[in-house]
Amino acid sequence: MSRGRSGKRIRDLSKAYPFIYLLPFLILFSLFFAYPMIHSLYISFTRYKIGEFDPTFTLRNYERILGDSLFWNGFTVLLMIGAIQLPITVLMSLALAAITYHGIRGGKIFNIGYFTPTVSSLVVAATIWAAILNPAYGILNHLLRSVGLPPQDWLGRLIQISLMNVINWRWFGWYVVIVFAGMSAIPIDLYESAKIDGSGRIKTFRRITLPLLQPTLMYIIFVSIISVVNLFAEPYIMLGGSTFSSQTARSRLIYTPVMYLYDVAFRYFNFGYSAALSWIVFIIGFLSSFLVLRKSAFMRI
Amino acid sequence: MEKHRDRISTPVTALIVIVALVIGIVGGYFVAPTPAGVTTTVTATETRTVTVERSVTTQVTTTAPPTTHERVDITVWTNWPARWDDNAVGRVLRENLGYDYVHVAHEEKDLGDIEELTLLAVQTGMGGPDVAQIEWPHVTAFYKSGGLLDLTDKVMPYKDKFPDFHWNMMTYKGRVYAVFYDLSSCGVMYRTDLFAKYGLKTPDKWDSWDDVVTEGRKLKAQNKSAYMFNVWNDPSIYLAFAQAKGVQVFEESPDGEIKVLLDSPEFIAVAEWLDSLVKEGICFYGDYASYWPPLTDGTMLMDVPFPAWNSWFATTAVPPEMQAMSGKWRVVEFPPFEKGKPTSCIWGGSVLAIPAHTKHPEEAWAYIYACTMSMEYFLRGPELFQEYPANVYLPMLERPELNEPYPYFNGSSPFTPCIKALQYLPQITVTEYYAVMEEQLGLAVNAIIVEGVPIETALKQAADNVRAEIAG
Repeated sequence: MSRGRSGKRIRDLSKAYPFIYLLPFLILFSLFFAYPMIHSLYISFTRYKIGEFDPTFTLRNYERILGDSLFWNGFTVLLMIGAIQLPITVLMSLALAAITYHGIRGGKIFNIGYFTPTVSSLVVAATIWAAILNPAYGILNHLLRSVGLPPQDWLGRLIQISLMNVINWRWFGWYVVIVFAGMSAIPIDLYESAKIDGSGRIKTFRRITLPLLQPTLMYIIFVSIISVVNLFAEPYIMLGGSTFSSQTARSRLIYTPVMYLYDVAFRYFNFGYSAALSWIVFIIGFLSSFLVLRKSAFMRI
Repeated sequence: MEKHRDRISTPVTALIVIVALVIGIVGGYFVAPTPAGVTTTVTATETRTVTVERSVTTQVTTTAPPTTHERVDITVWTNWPARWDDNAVGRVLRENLGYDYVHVAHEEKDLGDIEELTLLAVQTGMGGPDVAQIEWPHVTAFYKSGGLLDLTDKVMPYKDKFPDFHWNMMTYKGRVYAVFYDLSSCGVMYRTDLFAKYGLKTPDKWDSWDDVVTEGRKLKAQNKSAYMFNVWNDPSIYLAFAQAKGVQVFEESPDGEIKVLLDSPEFIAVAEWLDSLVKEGICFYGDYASYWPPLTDGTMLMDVPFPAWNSWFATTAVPPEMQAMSGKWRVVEFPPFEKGKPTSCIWGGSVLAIPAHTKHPEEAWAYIYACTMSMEYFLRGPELFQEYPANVYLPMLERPELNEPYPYFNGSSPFTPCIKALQYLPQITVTEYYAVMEEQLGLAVNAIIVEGVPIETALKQAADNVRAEIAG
């Protein structure tokens, strides 16, 4: 009798195994992800500044966003960066992945070369680039001068180009690996059939490689959009990070919405408004990536 | 049975881990120190005579240490090098002030990080340092949090030992939550050798900024790549010049209503003046990385505004190129804007504050006392860190040692002009929105100089953004 009850208990417990195994994750997820998200949504509808908290429901923070020139200036910056950077990312990843796929002499060194920035520390990379691009004492202007070209203000008027360069330099190695994986997954039979049918390289690329790579490319575009919308670390460090932050005039040219909401939270100590900004950034990021996914074949695969 | 045991043991282990995790998290929450409400006791003060190096004997008043002698570790976050502190404040505490049981764990951090992390600490009532260095205008934002220890009772006995300007800046609604650490009133230092080379006037005292500009034009006529001075991309320099001109950026009525004056005609005039100097090439505009090289390669003739921390140029704490320039720099008073009307400004400067939830309020206060008001710290400066500290405590500023000529500064004292400046520092209105204003001004300054946005437009937008933040 006793053994029978014990066996039933064990059988009952076995049904709970999945939940028990999931519990640690669920606890941590709830504590460090779900709760902060829900809480931030809640405080975005309140007035919550340092030393002041008014829990009364209000749309004031969201109304303020509509007229916030800095926030919308940030989105203009993102649109410009996205419009220029996305095609460059896709084309360069495609080209480099194709080179890697077909193989070149010294390919391994080549692979290491473009992938190294991806695994390097972001802080180190951005700091080094800031030093290279320094208009007065950077190596880049030194090189320009040495060949008789005028030095450029890489961290002034041209700071957007400099930023895009840093982002591309750092991330496109990763995209190349993804595209390369996509290319490797295309059955070789298709290429052999095309060859037998007399298809040339360009035609094969256009009719076989590109269509079959579409999900991969859409994934890259999708990830790039999310990265651009969340752009923070690279411009933040290029503008001096928090070092002497209060003593450094930030450039609006690369002042992204996430940098702004960070400042609102940790420099202005206005947590309610910062939460509202972060939700708008989230919604815009979500909608733009959703639209991309809907338009692509990615959803169907 | 064995099979059952195997099947049971894994989920049971998982349950134990989960329970431990939950206990850990919940327990951690309850065990964490509670914010605010820390009661501090004012200890008695005693007067004693100490003899220190350089054969100086002086009467000093120090706070008597509490009776307990169990080891106490305090954490201090500042942006000055940890090695200075290990040799200085901790030693003064232990060797001179009787706090032989206090051990200082000094963490050198960037000021921005200190402010953000200390803010989180005072908001949550957990973690953070026992003493934090905060840029003085930013500390106003902390006052409202209620998370800083009220030091009024501790500091009030020394009220008349601080310059009026600094005392007013340390006081918030009649209470004191932070103590000024460094003298930041400005003078000017210039390269005597380069002034001579270009045939420029090398005065002991400038008559006005117009003279500086006139000499700057003479310089540009001879060397297009040289600059008279450097503002770098720093909004606080704009604010410093505004202060020197007597221009306010905030106005606060007695009932607490705050007006933003960033787009006032007076402030616009300050920005226009600096912008015209940048456009003429008299004034260099660049990032902080561009600060040091021109000071050593002969392309920058002056350093202005000049806070007292530049006295460190005379030490080995600066790059070797700067050390090699001994005798070439000279320090004079901040030029006035109108002849015969001396003025100055403060540029930067920081305070030391104690989060209210500290477990060691007495020892944290002793630390602040040691490095802001103790004469032992001052007198042991040359022995401990090669230089006298540039505090704002009047008994220190009145010491003859500070006014001695320095060979490095061509026979001038780096302190005297800054100490003199205390007499005519225009008062400024600082509100809890100072950091917001500074950030917005920085964006505006960059937009004006880099993007060519009209000054009035950029400043109006900056002012409106600050107003939105106040209203929001």
